[in-house]
Amino acid sequence: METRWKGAASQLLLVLAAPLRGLLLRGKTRWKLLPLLFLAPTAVFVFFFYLLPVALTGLISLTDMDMRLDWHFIGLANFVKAIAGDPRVPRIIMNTVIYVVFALILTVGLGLAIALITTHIREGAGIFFRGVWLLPNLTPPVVYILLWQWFFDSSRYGFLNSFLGLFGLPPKAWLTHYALPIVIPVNAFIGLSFCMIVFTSAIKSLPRSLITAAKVDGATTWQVCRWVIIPLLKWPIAFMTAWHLIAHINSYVYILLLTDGGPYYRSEVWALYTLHRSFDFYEFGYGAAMAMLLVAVTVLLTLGIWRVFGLGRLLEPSKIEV
Amino acid sequence: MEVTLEELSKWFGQVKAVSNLSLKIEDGEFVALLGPSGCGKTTTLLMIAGIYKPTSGRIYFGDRVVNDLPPKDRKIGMVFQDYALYPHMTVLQNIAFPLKLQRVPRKVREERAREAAELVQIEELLDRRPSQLSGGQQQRVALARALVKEPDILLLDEPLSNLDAKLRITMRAELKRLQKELGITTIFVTHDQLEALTMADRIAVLDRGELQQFSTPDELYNSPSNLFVAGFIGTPPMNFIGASLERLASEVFLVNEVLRLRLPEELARRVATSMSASAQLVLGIRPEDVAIAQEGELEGEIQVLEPLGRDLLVTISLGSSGTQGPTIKVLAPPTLRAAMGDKVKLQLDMGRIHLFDKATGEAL
Amino acid sequence: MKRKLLSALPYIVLGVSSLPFFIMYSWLLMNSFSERVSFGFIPKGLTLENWSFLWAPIEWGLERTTIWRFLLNTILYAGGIAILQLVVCTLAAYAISRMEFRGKTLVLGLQLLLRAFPGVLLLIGTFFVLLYLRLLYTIPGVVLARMAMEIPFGVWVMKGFFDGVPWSVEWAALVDGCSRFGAWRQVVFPLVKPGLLAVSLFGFLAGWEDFIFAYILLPGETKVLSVLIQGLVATEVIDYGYLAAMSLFYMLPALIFFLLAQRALTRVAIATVRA
Repeated sequence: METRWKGAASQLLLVLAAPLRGLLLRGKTRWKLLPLLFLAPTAVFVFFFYLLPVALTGLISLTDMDMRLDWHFIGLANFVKAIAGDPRVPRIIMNTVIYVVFALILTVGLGLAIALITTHIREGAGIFFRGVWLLPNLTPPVVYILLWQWFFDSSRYGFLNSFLGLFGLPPKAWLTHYALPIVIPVNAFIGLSFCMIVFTSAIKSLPRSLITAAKVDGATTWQVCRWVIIPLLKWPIAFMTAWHLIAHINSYVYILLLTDGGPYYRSEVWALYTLHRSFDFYEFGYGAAMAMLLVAVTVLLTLGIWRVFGLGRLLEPSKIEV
Repeated sequence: MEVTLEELSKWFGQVKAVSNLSLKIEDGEFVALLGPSGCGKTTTLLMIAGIYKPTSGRIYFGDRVVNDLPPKDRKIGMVFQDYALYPHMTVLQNIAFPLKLQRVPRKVREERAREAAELVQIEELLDRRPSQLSGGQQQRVALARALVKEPDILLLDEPLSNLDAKLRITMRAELKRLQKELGITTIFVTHDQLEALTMADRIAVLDRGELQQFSTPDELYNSPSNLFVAGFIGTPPMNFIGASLERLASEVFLVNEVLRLRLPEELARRVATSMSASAQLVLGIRPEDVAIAQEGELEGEIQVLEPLGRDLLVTISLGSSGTQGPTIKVLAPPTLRAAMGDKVKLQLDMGRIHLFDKATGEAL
Repeated sequence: MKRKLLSALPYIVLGVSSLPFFIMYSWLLMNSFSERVSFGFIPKGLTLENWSFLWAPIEWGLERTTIWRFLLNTILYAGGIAILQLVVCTLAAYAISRMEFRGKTLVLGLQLLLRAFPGVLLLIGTFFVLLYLRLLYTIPGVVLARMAMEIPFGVWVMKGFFDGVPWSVEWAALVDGCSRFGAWRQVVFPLVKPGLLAVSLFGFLAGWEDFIFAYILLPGETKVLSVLIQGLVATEVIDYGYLAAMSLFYMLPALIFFLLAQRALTRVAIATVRA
């Protein structure tokens, strides 16, 4: 295994090195080419692990590749199947939409709420609670899910059930009956931490004088939030919404770990279904097509959001000199 | 070491930063590059340092063309506007750094660094880090670092602009004294004309990449060669009044809606020969060369009185009542008894007026 | 009275909503050291039995291996990513931050764009790329693939650090007698060291915490801790105590690295705000 890798890598290096070596020896050209040399490794990685995968997946989506890894060109049949031919798809689309909408509301909305609340209480307490809400991000995904699994465990040793047991209520199989509603907040909390941090620093960088002026004008804390702070946070809110909209549409890892889309596709979202079809059922062609559809939706949404929010303004040109 | 700039130009893409600049700086001279922001002075300095390459033209150190010489081989010392001290080194290490690069042995370079530190009086700070120093102290460290390698040329980029007013005045004298003592050719960049006037042997005034005038402070002040220099040098700035020429027999008058000035013979003769009859001119006169008196060539109404302690700055709107004339400022003795709205007569020191061609801005 | 209640309201709201987290994490701590735990924080019977994986072999289906093997794999995986990321991202960031080249704005925009690529698409595509490069199911293969995912972030962080070194300091070095490379080595490099630390730590963290890439692209004998733990979770009867202890074992280094990286990041924020 090791030698095979070395073989491929050294082949690649030799091919790249030859022209480079020749150019490096000449003085002035050397200076012009230096930046390219510095960017070369990144370029290589981007090519192999961003561009090539997309291209390959695109190609495979037009084939019927499966476990045997031989393929035949079948045109858009996979896409047709994904949109019209697969009986599970309507359910999955509905799941995905519900999931994305509610997770987004939680991520941005609750994140904003927590940012607002923690910046209005004592500094120490604020930091403490923000730290607590950061925990999901600091925990490795596997452990994070483990904790939730224990929380919702269907035996009487799971936390919720043992809590209910105190009142004499029987244990419930939470993850079986409430798969989708549970999966939503579990995922939302991950993005929530990020939102919370962004919003908090945005709130803290607002000029104090604005808030003081509003208070002098007679506003209560709630009114200050509603009419002064939140409008001023328009940009961070818009950006976070856009960011997490994309993120949630594409999320699947936590769902995979927690319910694996179950029971029986009740918490299956599009991205996860793509994974399942590809690596559990080995329908690579079909899976690739579903992935491409996902990309298309993502790109369209990104462009749409770009236009609607005019996010182009956020990209500043670089001010670099000689 | 003399420094000669020969038709130096620098383009950044489509923007022309320096345009055909030619200067000759003598050995041991203290020269200022003066001008408003964006006039190309820092760019010129960086070209002399070798950090920027000229687009065209040549730079000579003595007889040698140095266009392609890298900074490290130019034997220059430079102090940057933000001092650019190395934050991860102590003051002593900062100052000794140029010597370290020349592979001077440790003991020797620390010795020389200490000497340089003594020269600028920061011996007690040698073990501190730059972040622990005040602005003035940092500047002196930067100076010591520039001087430690005994450069042929010293370059200073706005060395005093980040200091507070009081320190600035102290450092001005310090720098001038130091330069005379060491005799190093020094070029410094500033936008503060007072700084340039007090420190430099000669000043090159630049505007939008072009050289306006290169002379001693005296000459720049008393004989500015164009409108820009006249208006830039001197605080409070020179007054400018637009007027046209009128010839009557052998006399020449300067005329506009509020004045009719007879030009003295010498000036009249110069003007008559070089200007056509209907030329538009600009009259320039410094506030201290106008006096409020009983009788005078001009009259006007006092708009504002600003006491400056040593003088009184009076803003006067020219013209007799009814006409809206141009406004000029006059420096009067602080004992003047006057109030807003007073009508006064003004006497001009005719020997100290300047005339400029309105079209070209050149002095006549 | 009402005012007191009102001012306590935010604390109550925060406290209640954070309750699950308190419960879960204290459970993690408590459970790893006790035989049984009621309601997450009332330990019954302190024991170190749950930590038996430290000295006894682990039963995994038909295999029997020790935790140390998994630890080694995880360290190799995460370490490889960290080192690679450091080198690749630093080079690229320096070029973007301090050098002139055509298409620079394109490269900057690209960084932003790359982060928008959907994960599952890249996973499937990378599977095939590795397959055809004959790197599938090898540690080097997964390292390269996972590391590539961290490039946009790494470049962005390092670029920020390079941007924070003022041009005048580099110029001063040139005037003082350094060549371009010398200036980099003596002046720029020391000033971005916290950045290097931060980037390598984040890279290590990404590898340490990763599950999906290791799961899909590295099945077989070479497993990492995350896959191990997930595998144990998926069994019929979960021994929570055991799992809790193992999770703690797995999680603590990640926490430490995260805190170290944060400190390195803030250090530069302080260093660049000089007088």
